[in-house]
Amino acid sequence: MIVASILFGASFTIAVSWALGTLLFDWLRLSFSRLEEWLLAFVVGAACLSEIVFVLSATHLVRRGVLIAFGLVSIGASVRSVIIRKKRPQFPKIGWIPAGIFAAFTILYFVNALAPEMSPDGAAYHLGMVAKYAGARGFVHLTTNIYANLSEGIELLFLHAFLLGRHSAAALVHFGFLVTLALLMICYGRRIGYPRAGVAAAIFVYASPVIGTDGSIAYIDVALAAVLFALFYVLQVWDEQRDLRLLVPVGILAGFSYAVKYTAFVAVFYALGFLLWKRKRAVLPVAAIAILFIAPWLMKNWLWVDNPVSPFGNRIFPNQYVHVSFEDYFRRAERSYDLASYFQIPWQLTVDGGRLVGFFGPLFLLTPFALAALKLKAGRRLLAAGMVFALPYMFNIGARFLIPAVPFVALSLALALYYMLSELTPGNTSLNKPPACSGQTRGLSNVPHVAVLGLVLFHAVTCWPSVAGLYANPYAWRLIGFPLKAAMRIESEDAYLTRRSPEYSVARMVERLVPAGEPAFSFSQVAEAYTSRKILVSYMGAENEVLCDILWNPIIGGFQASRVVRFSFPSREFRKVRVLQTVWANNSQWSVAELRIFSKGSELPRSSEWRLNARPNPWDVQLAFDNALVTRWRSWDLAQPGMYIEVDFGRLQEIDAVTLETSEDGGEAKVRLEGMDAEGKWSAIASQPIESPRPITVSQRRAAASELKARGIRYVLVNKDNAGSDDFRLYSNLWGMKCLAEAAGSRLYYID
Amino acid sequence: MMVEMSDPDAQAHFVRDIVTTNEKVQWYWTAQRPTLRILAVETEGLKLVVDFSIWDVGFKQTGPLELSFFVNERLLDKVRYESPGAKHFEKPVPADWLKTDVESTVAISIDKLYTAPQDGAKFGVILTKAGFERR
Repeated sequence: MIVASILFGASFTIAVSWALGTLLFDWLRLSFSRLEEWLLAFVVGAACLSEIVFVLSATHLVRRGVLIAFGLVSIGASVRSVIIRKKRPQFPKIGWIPAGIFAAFTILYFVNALAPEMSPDGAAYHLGMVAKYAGARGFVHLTTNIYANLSEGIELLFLHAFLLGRHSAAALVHFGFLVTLALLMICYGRRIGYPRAGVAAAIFVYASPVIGTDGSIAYIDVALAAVLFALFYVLQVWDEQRDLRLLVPVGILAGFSYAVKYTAFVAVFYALGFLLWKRKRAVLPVAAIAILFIAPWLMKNWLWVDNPVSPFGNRIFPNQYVHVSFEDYFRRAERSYDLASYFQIPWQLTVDGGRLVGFFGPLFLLTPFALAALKLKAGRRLLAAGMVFALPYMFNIGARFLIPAVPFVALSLALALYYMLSELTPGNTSLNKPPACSGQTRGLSNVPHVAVLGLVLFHAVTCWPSVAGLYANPYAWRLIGFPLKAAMRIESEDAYLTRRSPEYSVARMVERLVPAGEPAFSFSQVAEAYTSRKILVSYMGAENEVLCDILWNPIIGGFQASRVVRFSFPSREFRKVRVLQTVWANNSQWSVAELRIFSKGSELPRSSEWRLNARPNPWDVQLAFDNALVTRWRSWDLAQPGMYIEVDFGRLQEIDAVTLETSEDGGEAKVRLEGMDAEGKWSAIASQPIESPRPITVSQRRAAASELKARGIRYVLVNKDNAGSDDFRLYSNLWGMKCLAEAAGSRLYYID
Repeated sequence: MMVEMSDPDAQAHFVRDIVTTNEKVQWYWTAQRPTLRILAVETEGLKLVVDFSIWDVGFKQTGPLELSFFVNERLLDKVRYESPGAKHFEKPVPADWLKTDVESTVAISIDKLYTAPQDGAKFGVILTKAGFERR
């Protein structure tokens, strides 16, 4: 029954997508060859279904009944149309060897996709968010998880499948995109007159370990690759036919690319650029349709987190939900992956796979030969598209981020191989001629074909999991098993996941011990797809980072307010005072644990008339005025001139000293004091403060825990690999916490 | 602040030169420079306390021992023990030697080691307790 519900959830989602695409194509009276129409209908229909689920999620109408009713009506209407038009897909003949390779990898991927979902990001946030939306019947206003702010076009398809077949149904939907991508490549090869190149390229992509792994779990990269390839495909068809109606799917796919993943924004520019080159008048309607698929995500973020492109662009759209420092760190980390040199990238991407989280297979060492495809018009177009879709790779050099460009590279490479081998084969016809009619094999001798077939076999063998294990890095991300028993649920989901996934065990511990409605703070990512509890992961949001800063304060000396900076001056009256930071810091933020103002030797009590402000991060300014040593206002950006903390007394106030209690980690900051007089004029009061050390003489552990408790956090999850984990374990009594349970190296503490 | 060697977590505080075992024990043999990590909950008004024993059989071989007590690599005191048996050391620790964020290291340097005639293994003293207490 479980397997049946999973298969139903996935196939129903795919069928509804296909149905919507078919209905759209019928309405537009578009004409493709049979198989490509089915494939393109699925991808375009998936965009439409995703948009519909967005509307349902926004109105909290995502219910099983609604989805089934809507789906049945869509499928019914489209099947009727198919029967009337007698359009059934006709699978191309691709030869026994390629068919055998496809079959072998399809079985491998299908079983893995059907097995319980335990991929790191899939279980943590792709399906973590989906599970939350499923529980709430729509979007959840979540400001403490940056992943909730990313566009989630594919996740909404997952949501559709999840409600019917749970986690594995979502993974199978993604697998559906992988199959679609391979078949589209075969179709495109036929369309441009190089069917064998299309088949070879499809296998280059399909067998590739990182693509197969990604496409068998609830990730989104392969789906994005399919969407981008479909966009390219339809654009090329439009260029052949100049049928204006084709601009509708072009617009849908361009907009949906962004809805799938931010990094695919380049697809919009690609499509518009192509149209601008070919026919300027086509640009506006395509842009208008694309905006329909982009705008919902921009609006959602703008309304909920004050930043339409959150979690990026936080300098342009300052907000209290994502810190600039996080964004900067994220960008830096994603660009380096701890590589010693960028020259390691080709080997890492093709053979090793240990550093860049996956690899495409040794065959892709031949990628430079793809440039030979520049000789062919089709090759030039493929390479141009591949280059554009590879641009986001500059921002994240993980192997997954190259997947959208790989189908284009693979096709170019296959074309180039055929071209070069044909040129080298005596008496062979050059490929550098206009392609023959669609589906017709070119006049090649057997030599290039046999050679490319050899490469296809080489690729298939070297990418097969047991062979790849012989040469790839042991830590490379790839499929390593054939979990048939788990896939068929002969071994229960719980038993399989408990055995294989530490994150699952942790999530279930949280589910068991944290009461419903209570949030838990965690230093590490949790498989949120398997718990309904709200998890505040230390780095996934501004609020979480503040909690983490508080917890680390007692155990990281550099965080503690161990320095006092004092401005003393002749007594004067001011309406406002502000402490201004005046230098550019190389690698430290500015922070203030407490700002105190004195008059005649006594500290002025903080008055309700005072109005506090800070730039940047005005939302946390209260933390510098709360008399708590473990909390502090931070700039959450490198210290820069012009940053300030300001107190508006609401009236003239006589003062003669101001002190800042600050920490060693902000040692680069230099400050001066300014005041506003009765006339509203700002002037410098003092710029040479006296600094003195202020040792922390009492452990602040309990104080930090109390701060979390005051913020409604009673549960803290600490993994043995987290900084400070030993401290929590050995000194839990000093923290005022007790350990409730331990699972897979993570301890769940309760703040008494 | 005080690590009793009978604590189940005691070994988590060991840095070096303490002979560990998987069995539950009340004390541990040390080597030349037993070192522990111990957290000071506060920094002011604390004293270092170490309880240990000098084995009488070993003492016959080594004679009087001189032990140097260090806190965060600073020498707190050097004491000469003229007889075997249970010993107790305590001495106030200056506040600025300690921190509350990280554990302080407490080390005891032993000038002479007992060498077991059977296997040549070397031993220092028998440690039962070490840590900080309020004065």
